[in-house]
Parts: sequence; C-alpha cells; structure tokens
Amino acid sequence: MITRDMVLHVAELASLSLRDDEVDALAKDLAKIVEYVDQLSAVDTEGVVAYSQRTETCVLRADEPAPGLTHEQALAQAPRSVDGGFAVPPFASALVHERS
Amino acid sequence: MDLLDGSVIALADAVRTGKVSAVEIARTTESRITVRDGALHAFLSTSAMQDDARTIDERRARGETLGSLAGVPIALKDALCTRHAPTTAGSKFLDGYIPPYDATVVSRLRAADALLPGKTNMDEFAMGSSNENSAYGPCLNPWDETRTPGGSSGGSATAVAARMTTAALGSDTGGSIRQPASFTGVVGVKPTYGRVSRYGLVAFASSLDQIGPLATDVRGAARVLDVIAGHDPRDATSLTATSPNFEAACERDVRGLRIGVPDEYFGDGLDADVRTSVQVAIAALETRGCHVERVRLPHTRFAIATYYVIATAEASSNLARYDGVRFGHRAEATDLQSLYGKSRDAGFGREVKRRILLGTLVLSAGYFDAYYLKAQKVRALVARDFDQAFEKVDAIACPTSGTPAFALGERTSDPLAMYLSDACTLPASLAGLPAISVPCGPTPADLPVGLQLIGRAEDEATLFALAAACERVYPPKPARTESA
Repeated sequence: MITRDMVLHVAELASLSLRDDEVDALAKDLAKIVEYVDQLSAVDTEGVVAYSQRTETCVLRADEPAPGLTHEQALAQAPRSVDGGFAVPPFASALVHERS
Repeated sequence: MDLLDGSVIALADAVRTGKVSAVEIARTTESRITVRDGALHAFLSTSAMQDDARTIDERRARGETLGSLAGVPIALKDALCTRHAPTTAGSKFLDGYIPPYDATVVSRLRAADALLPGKTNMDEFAMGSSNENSAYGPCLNPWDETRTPGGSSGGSATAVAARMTTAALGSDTGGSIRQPASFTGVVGVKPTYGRVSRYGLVAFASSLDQIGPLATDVRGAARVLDVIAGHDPRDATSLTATSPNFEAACERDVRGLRIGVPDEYFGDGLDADVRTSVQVAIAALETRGCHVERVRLPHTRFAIATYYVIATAEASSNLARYDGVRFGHRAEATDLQSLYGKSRDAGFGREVKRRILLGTLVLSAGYFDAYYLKAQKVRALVARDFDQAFEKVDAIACPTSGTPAFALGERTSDPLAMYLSDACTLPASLAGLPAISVPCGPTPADLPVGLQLIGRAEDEATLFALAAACERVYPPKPARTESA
C-alpha cells in the first residue's frame, strides 16, 4: 500500500519538493504500478544470478591526462556563477547547526 | 526534388557523382521542414545546413573523396548532445541548454559528411510511448494526425515518415526506436547493447539505453549504423568487437535461415489486423526460403514489470544530476536542499516525477530485495529464454507493437496502460539483443504495421538480411501529408 507519507518520504530521498496538490495523484499512480510489479514475486528465481547488463566487463580507457572542458566552458551553462565557481545559497551554516 | 523521397544510398550516390549538390539538398530539406512540420511538430529546433553543404560541394569540386553519408540529411533525437545547438531531451529542465560538446554519434555523422537539419521531438527524458510526455507539445503521426507517432523517438520517426529527412537517430531503452518506426512505417534499428557509443546521450537507464538509426529503407539504416557503430574509449560499455559491414549484410541470401515465432507475442492482446499483417509477412519470408518454427519465451509476460522496476531505478540515479546548480533550470531558494527540490519539481514533468519516485522506492531500504534485486533475477530468466530459443533458430519474428498507432490522449490518463504499450519491445531490451522494426502490410485503414526481428547478440547482420528480404515484399512508402 502506497500512502501519502511514503510518497513524501521517497520524494525527500529523491530531492524532489512536490507541490501539495501533486502528492495524492502520484500516490494513486504509484499504488497501481506497484500492485502490477508485485507479480514478480510469483516468479521462481531460486539460484538465479542477478543480471546487470550484457557487457559484463567495462573496457576503461587508459588513465592518461588529456584536455577536457575549459573552466569557462564548464561554467557557461550554470544558471549562476561567482568568482569562477558555481553559485549556491549558503549551506555551511546549516551543516554546522546540524552537527552541534 | 524527388530525391528526398528516396533512400540514403541514392542521395549519397547522387551527391558523390555530382548529380545534385549538397547545397540543393540542404535548401530542399529546410523548405520541406518549414512547410510540413508546422502541423506535425517533429522538430524542436532546426539548424542551418548551408555552410556545411557548401563545404561538401567545394570538396567534391576539388576531387576529394566524400564520406559515405555525404549530403544526406540526418535528424537527431533531442537527447543527443550537439555542440553549439540546443539539447532539451524534451524537458523544460533543459530549456535553453547548449552542450559544450558533440555526442560521439554526432561527431561520426559529421565526419561522414552528413547534413544535420535539427533536433527531434521526444517524450521528456525518453520516458514515454507516445511523444505526449514532451514538455514542448506532442508530435503527430503523419499517417493520421489524430494519432501518436509512438515514442519516445516519435519526432525522429515522423521526420523520416513525412520525408522531411531521409534518416534520423533515435535512442531505444525499451522500444523507443522500434515502436515509433512501426507506427509511422519506417525502418528502426535497436542495435546490440554496447554496439553504439552513448557518450553524449542524455542518460535514462544505463543498462538498457542504446542509440540506433531510423531510415526510409533497410540499406539506409544499415549504412547509418555502419558509420555510428564501434568502440569508443569514452563509453566503457561500448563493444570492442569490430562491426561487420551491415550494408553488405542487406544483400545476404536468407534461404535456409531459421525463424522462430514465439507464441507469447501472439496472445489475446494482439490487434487482429496487426496479427494478420505480421503473419503474412512471416509467410512471405518462408516463401523466400526461410524455415519457420514455433518457439517458447515463457518469461515474456514478466518483461513489463521487470523493465519498469529496473529502468526507473536507473533513471532515479541518472536524473540525480539535474540539481539546478551546474546547468538547466534553477528555482529561487534560500537554502541548498530546497534549491535542488524546487528546481527539480519545476523542471520535471509528471511522468518523470512518477518514474523517479518509483525508482527511488524500489532502491530504498526495505524494498531493494523484493523489487530491484528480484527484477534483476527475472531479467536473467528473460535473457535465458532467448539464449535457449537461439539454440534452435537464427532470428525471432513477432509484432513490434500489439496495436497500430493509437489515438492522441487515449492512454495519457493511465500510466500503466501506457506501459503496457511496450510489451513486444521490452524483452529484447532487457536481454540486450539487437532488434529491427521493418514495415509490413498496413492495416485495412492504411495504418502502418511493423514486423519485429530479434537476433542473437552482435548479430545485427542476420536481421538486416531478413529485413531487406521483407522490404522487397513491402517497398518503402512515404506517409500521406496534408501539405506538399
């Protein structure tokens, strides 16, 4: 059963601030979808190894330095930047407060 | 110009032999898009091609050898990053976003001298089966404008079907190339997982995502795949094996090939007209010397549930990058956590939120084993079904979609009904296998139907041979368009 509180909890985990009028509709949708996917519990998977993807080994490129984006390119799409960095609201004080 | 109604091969040949200039193709393509796309909305943005076209013509005049796609217009799904050109992935979150680099497939198309007319409409972040989840309004089906072109690569499919471009790239996570190809009467190819580099593709579900071509004909799709396939050091999951020549594979003899027809794809949910069209197409392959036999893929019925657990879990992780700080939409907020939360709430549409929530739920403590881990195990069983079938047959033939194109608005109010649209395409995605949708006989109401051919991993070549044989029975046909 998907409750309103569960949706709000999961939304918090997903960093998604839902508007109040969205929550009930999403809870209803999710309840229906979860009820559908519950059919998986009926499948016998005793001894089956979980599948992740077909290419089991990823081929990493050589770890050698190469030019990437320039500082300006990396910042070009930022909604706000200050002194060559991404600008965000203050958060350090909140962290200090949490720890104390 | 009739050439735009033809094939990739004919167009590239005409440019290379000087029968037509790239500049003329660019001009004709641009004017076709202007005239035809007003009603259809296949493109989210267009690019001027004249400079690139002029360069191609000048190089030809100097006697230089041109690339295999010289002068061929190829539209790009808007999930592919293009340097200096907007890339939205159909989302308001990325409205105005200009990537600083080209996706590998885009670089490869440029290197092959293709012309790139623009970026095509899609469901937001490729989440949808009808294009109706685009934040910029739906694309319409050129065969019947009251119907969807399918999704999520609906814009790419419509652009090809209405001959605004000769080919396009799409991406396919659970059927997003094949289903729209089927709904619009074009050829759509989902290559083997890893065949094509995904560097620069806006990620949806990384164990499933794959880029592939849509084209007016089979050989054209094969030539585009020949250009974009191959290992890329920038995508660690891309295959290291060299690709065979897919265009040459289209000429292969299909006599003696064994085709499996799975009972599970021909159940009660299958539209009667689609059933007939697909059965007639399979019979046509039989008369061309293929051996047809029944196969069983018993875990097919669990594919939808498996897919929607795995794909949403991966999406919830991939979409964590949209935080409103480095690029994309930013909401006003006084603290960092609400900056994330509000930016994401304002930037994402309803279906994207639904999937992020479902994906986060199935990965969360207390649910992980019962949902995510369970789905990964069922996924192994879906893949094993195919492995067993391919011990007996060389390819599997079935419908691409259980219905022809459905009406706009028909499934938007019920997310689950929309998910069920993907029943025929999801299993091959889960197993990482290559699959092609090729047009077969239309319904009595003249709506396109797609035959889906699924192959062994890395064996697209057999699929191209079979699809080309099918195409000889059902030659490519442009969609009717209201305006010339």
